[in-house]
Amino acid sequence: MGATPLLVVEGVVKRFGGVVAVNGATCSVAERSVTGLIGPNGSGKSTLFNCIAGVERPDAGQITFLGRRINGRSPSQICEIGLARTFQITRLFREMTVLENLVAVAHGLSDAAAVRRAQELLAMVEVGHLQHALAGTLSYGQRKLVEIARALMFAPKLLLLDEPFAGINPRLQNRILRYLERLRDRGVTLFLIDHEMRILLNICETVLAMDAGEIIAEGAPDVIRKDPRVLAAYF
Amino acid sequence: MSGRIVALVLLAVTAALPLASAAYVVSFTVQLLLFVILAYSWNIISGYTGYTSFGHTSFFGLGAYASTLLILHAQIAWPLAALGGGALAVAVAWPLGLVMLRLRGSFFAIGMFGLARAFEALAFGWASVTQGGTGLYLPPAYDLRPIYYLLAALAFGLVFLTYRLDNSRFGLQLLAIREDEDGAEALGVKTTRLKVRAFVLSAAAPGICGGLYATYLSFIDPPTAFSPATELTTIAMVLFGGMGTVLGPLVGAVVLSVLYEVLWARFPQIYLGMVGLAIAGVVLLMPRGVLPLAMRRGWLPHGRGALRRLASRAVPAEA
Ligand SMILES: Nc1ncnc2c1ncn2[C@@H]1O[C@H](COP(=O)(O)OP(=O)(O)OP(=O)(O)O)[C@@H](O)[C@H]1O
Ligand SMILES: [Mg+2]
Repeated sequence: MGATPLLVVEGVVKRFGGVVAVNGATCSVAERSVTGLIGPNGSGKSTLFNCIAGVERPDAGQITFLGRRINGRSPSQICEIGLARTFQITRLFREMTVLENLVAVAHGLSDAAAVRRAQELLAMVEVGHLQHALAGTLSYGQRKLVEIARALMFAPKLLLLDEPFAGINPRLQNRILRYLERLRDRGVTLFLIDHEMRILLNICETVLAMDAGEIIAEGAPDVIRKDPRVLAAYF
Repeated sequence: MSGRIVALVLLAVTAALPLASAAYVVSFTVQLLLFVILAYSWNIISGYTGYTSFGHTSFFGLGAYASTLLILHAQIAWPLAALGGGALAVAVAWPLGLVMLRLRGSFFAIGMFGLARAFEALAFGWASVTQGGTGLYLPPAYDLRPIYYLLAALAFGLVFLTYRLDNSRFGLQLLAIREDEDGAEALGVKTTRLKVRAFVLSAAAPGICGGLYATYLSFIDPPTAFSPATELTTIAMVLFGGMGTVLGPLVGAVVLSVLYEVLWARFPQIYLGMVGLAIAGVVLLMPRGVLPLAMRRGWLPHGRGALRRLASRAVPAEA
């Protein structure tokens, strides 16, 4: 790993009552890389993302982003530093239009600038024609696209994507893949959770494997795919 | 714009009313203005932000007592005293909001209700200052018109403020809190700061209005200041018109006030029951109120038009 790490996670622990969701996870994400995170259901992937994004407070460990310690900071402070995320289950504001969903989360832009930026992002993921549709009326795939556009309102350096490819048809998966490649080419670092090996092989340079709250393996996707520890965790 | 014309006509009618009308019409309009002010204020925290308060008369009552005491003991002119009432409401609402807004849903609603009862009990109990259940009397005002005009100014100001709110990012963020507060927070919206701001904003006008109303009645006692009936009527008005809309509280306040008057005059024994049935029927048929239904049917333009206008100014790259 020659590149400098943008994000460093060290010994992060998160408990929910008796459940240890994340159990001393340690990993790093290189700047301008595309890093995948796989692991069986309930292995703690989403919880780790929530810790990184500031939604959950880790019980132990340290998270550093751009050289700054971010655990303990509020989600809005973390967004402002340049870290954005999408949700595993889409979380659009259903009673607002698509455009309003984006403008509502804008930071430090005039309304006019926020609207312009939102329109550019919606056009980038090819849903510009939906700008005035109520978010509650969108299809599942459209909601996923709008969520990606909304996360980009912060002009993030690091984008966390929680299962962006889950539950959508291969055509849309390929479209999202294309958008993510474009983002990567623009210098956005991507850290994504997914189960679809076909896609991870396609886009990720590095894949991290998680099991029972720990990172158990790290490496190139085709290596991780055959790693006995990973296979043991999944089967 | 037809909206601007309607607003001007309403303004003119409101301004001319006390010059040309019977005392009965003026006193009805004062009640109406009072409810418009309370409904719009309640709409900010409960309609837009989604924190349903069952204790907003707290601020009305605090304002009424503060203003009356300022007039009686400090010989302050009544308009300034009413402003003092507003200032006290804001000063109480700020720390209160920080505490109460940690509660969600029905806990907040019931907590606010309990708070209003506590203030009422305080007004009863602290007799050395409030005269308890006897109430405080002010020298009657000879000319009620200045009070009327100030109430009208406050009511119109709130309609305008709500229009601005509806078209601002602050308003959008309040709606985001209403829909999914945790989601909004995770997306970097400063939810605590914004909802406390909305709460304080929603307390100011009831405080001032409480002061003006006490001057108008030249009397205040605990049941008048912290009346649950006033609270529930306010809520029913906003529910009827449409929570989180610019014109909903106005429509609700006008329709329900007229309904009250008509039914009260015709069926004095059972009018409250009839109003209750009417409200229940409306909530069943139009759970979101009249205005949202009219917007969905296309009879009225949707709210939040400023953003739409900004959006149409720039031509999207792909459409
Ligand atoms: N808010 C919470 N309260 C209690 N337990 C939780 C909470 N969030 C997660 N957990 C538990 O933590 C564990 C890890 O959950 P998490 O959602 O992080 O898994 P995941 O790897 O994302 O799974 P999936 O692939 O199904 O999305 C699970 O046992 C889950 O039940
Ligand atoms: Mg998950």
